[in-house]
Amino acid sequence: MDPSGPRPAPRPGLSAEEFSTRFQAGARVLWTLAAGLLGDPAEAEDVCQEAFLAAYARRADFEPGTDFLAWMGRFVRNVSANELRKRARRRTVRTDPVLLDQDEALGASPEAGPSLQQLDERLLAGLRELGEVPRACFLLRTLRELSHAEIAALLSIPEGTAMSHFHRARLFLRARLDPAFHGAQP
Amino acid sequence: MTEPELPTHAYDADALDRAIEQSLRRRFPVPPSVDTLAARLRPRGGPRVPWLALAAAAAAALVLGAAGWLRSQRAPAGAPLEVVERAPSAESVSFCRLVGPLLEGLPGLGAQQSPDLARLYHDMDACQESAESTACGADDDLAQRLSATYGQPLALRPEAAGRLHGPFGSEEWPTATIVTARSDGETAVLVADRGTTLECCVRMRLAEDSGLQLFTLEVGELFLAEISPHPEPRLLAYFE
Repeated sequence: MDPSGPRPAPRPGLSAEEFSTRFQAGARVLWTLAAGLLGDPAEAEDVCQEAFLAAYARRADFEPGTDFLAWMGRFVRNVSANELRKRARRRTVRTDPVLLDQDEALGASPEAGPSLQQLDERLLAGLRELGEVPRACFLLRTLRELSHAEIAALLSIPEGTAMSHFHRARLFLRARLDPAFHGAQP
Repeated sequence: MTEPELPTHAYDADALDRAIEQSLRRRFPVPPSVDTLAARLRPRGGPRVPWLALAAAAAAALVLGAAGWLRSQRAPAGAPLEVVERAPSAESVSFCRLVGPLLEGLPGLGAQQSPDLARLYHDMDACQESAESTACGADDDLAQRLSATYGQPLALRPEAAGRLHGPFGSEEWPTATIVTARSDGETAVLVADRGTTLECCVRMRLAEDSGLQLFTLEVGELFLAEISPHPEPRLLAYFE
C-alpha cells in the first residue's frame, strides 16, 4: 500500500468500546429516565437494553463532540413510547397475595397515621397522576441530582420547562403526601 | 393532572421533601444489573451471525408447519365450533372436568366463590398430567371457545399452538375456564372468567407460603389470571 496515497476519511461516530464506556457511565441516568417515563421501575431495564441495542447499531451516526446522553435519551424515549403504546392495549399486573391481605389492613385504622408503605403507596399514586415528562423530570432531579439543563437535554425540552415541571411535580406530590395540606384542599 | 392549590400555611416542606426522596429511593432502586448492562449487551468480535434472526425464522417455520398440519385436520373455516366432550383417561382424577366452565353464565344472586388458588393450581397440575387434552390452543379454537363463553373477542398468538392443555373446569372456581401449560419443567395455570363475575362474586385466596405467584390481565370484559411458580407470567402473553 502506498503510504503517500489518499487516506480514508476518519470514521465518524463511536467505536464499540467508546460507545460501551459512555453508555455504562450514563446507564443509571438512562434507567431513571426510562423509569420516569414509564412510571415503573420494573420495565426500565428492558427499555434500556432495547435502547442500547438500537443505539449501538446506529453509533456511527453519533456526532463526536455532542452530548452522548442527550443522544441516548432519544432512543430511551422512543423505546419507552413504544412500551407505553403497548401497555395501553394490554394491562398486566403482578398481584402479590401478601398485598391482597394488606389491602384490607391499609384501610383498617386510618387514625394510626401513615406507615412507610402507605406513604410509598401515596407517592406512587401521585406519580401515576403526573404526566410522563414531569415524572421523569422529578425522578432525574431527585434521584440522580441532574441539573435542569441536563434534564432538558435528555428530554429535548427547554431548560425552563424542565425546571417548571420539576417544581410543579414537587408541589403536587407534597400536596398528595402531606395529610394537613391534603385536608385543606377544596 | 389536577392542580392542587398552593399551600398558604406554614408546614415543614423540607421534612416532606426528604420523606418523598426516601420513598422514591425505596421504590425506584437501580437494579445492580444496570451497572453491567454495556458489558453484557455489547456484541463480541468475530463475524456476526444473525442467530436471533435464524432462530426466529426456524421457530416461525415450525409454527407455520404445525399450524398448517393442524388446520388440515380440522373442520373447514366458518363451521360451528364443535364441542368435544373428551373423556379423561383412566387414571384421571375426580376434580378434573373437561370441558370448562362447570357453571355457564353468571353465578346466582349473592353466590360467592372463594377459590383457593394453590389448591386449584395443584388440581390442574394433576389434570394436565392425567388427561389427554393437548389439542387445546392448537389453533384459535380456545380463543373462540372463550369468546363464545364470555362474550369477549380474543386472539391467541400462534406460539400457543399445541402448548396448552384443557380447557378444564373446576369446582374450586365453577364459572372459570382453565388451561394449563408446562414451562421450564413447571406447570402454569391460566384461569379465565368475566371481569364482572370477579368483581361481584369471586374472592381469590392464595397462601403466602404456597410458593406461587398470581398475575392478572384484563382483556376488555375478560379477566385472566395466571397462577405460576415462575417469577413472571408465561401464559398471559399468548392472549391479546
